Amino acid sequence: MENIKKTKFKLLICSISFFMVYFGVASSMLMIKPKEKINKESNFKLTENKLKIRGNIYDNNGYLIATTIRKHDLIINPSVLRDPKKFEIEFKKIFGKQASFNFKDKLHSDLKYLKVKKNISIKDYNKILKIGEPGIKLEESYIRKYPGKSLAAHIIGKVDIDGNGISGVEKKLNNKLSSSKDIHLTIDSGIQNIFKKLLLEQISKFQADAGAGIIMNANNGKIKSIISLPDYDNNINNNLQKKQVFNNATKGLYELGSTLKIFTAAMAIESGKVKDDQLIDVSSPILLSKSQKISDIKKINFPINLPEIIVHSSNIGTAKIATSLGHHIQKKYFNLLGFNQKVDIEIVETSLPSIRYDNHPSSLMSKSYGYGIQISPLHLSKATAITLNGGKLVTPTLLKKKKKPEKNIQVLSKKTSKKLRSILYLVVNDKNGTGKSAKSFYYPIGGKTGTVKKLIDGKYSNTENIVAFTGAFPIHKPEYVFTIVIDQPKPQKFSAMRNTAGWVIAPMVGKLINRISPILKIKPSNFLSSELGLKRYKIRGASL
Amino acid sequence: MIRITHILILISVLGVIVFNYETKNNYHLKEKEISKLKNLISEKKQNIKLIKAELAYLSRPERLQLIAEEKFNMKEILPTDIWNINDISKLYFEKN
Repeated sequence: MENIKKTKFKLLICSISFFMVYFGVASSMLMIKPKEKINKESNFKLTENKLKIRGNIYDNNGYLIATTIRKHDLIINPSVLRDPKKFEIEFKKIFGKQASFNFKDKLHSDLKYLKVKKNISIKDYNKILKIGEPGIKLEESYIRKYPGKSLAAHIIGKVDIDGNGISGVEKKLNNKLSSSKDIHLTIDSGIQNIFKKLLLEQISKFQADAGAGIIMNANNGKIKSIISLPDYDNNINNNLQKKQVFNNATKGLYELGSTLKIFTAAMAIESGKVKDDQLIDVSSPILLSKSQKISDIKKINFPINLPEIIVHSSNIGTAKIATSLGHHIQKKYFNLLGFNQKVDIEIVETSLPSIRYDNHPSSLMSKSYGYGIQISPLHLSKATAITLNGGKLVTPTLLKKKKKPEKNIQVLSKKTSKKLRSILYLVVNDKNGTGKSAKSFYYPIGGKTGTVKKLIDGKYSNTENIVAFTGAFPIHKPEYVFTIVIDQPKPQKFSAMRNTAGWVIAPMVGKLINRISPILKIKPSNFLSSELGLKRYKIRGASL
Repeated sequence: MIRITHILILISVLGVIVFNYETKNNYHLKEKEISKLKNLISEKKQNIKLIKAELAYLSRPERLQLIAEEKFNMKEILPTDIWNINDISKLYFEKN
């Protein structure tokens, strides 16, 4: 009995364990597990998701400026190639006789890897496969393309072979782009093209070396266009000259001459040191030393007031105003206008202005009309915007969506700003103004010209100029500021052998504004200064 | 009686096995199909990207300007050429 019980018990254990195994197997059969890797093909494609494709860059209107596209290169393994001659014949059949076939020697070698043709289509690849040779495969890679070619090349910048940004927006916003996020810029491709064409036209007319231009929203600092000439096709990496790649508009530092008189006038009015109607004698040059003197091209024999000094662009007058202001006030306002720092913008190519600060009165005077102070056109644009928009601080930006809303910091008073708008309106619209060729029939424009002798090897050249123009439109209620700089324009017969800003840049300003204003949705307006609500200053001619 | 239940159970077990096999097999086929479709989608997406880049290349302002000027003899727009629809109606009512 005992034995039978024991055996029964053993049997029970056996059957229980058998059933447990059975149920285990059965239930595992019932379960459906997704396979992690289905086939080699899908496994290969999965790399695409792991490899994050760099984000696109768009302009303000959604025009594609930079994108990453996939390309396929044809790779062969010559060491396993059976019939190189046949391969050559078939290859030429497929790609045409013109196709380069400069790897003939390598085809017979023992190489394991040979890139035969870049960027081939799948169709051609299938044809190549039909040749029936072993060791042919496709290699997938990604390349950065810039469909607009040279359009905004300086701003966008470049990427290296590994797809990391090395200049411009590509570098500054590399983190965002490399995590597949798209970027929308404030740049308007249409305006960029119009501006570039016009600037190029002036540069070639005057056989100039280089040029730069900026159009920026006067109130929120959104940049519509940045031009730097000469430029380059962003898709080409070879044979680029330094001159082409250098961003004149944001990195180039220039003495911008009389355009800085705007700020001297602004600090004079703001600090209350000089009244609008205070008369200043500008009839005789200021002697600084035996070799150095401050003089004017247009001699004015009677005392004139501040608006007249700006409209006639008198160096003597501006220098005298600066003397009454002093070093301290000048430095304070230069800093407020942002000349003591780099412009914080979404590209890496920015420069710190170089300003000569010493206690000598000549340095104070020369800085008041733009000598001894080197700033970038972008600095000038920013300072112009602050001065003319009602005195609010402006931070230039290239991003359509800025995270932080700007704080309303008042740098100058609204009153000062209005006075300057009224004066700059006259520079363009008065018959005595230096920038009167900038006048537009449709829009009230205001601005200031600047012509400086170029500093070459530490000496001021007597023949080479840098010319600049900065201003805003419509001047009674500025919406956009523009800054244009042209480097070394040569005197021309049609310009009566002159190469000053009034001759070189002013004529393109009116044309530019007439063409881009409709794009910027600015309506043409009547513009008698009385109707515009600007102050009416009386400007007397140089000779009474 | 016992035999009939045995046979019924056996048949039902076989049925379940066949059904299970079918489902599982179908599932894997669908899975393959999905992965193929996913590949196709990514392929098409890449193609779309390429086409978009080509479109941007062809519609770059520089080229459009050239076409407008040379092929169609178009002229630059003047600021006064652009009218607001309200302005037009105003003008109409002023005249009448």
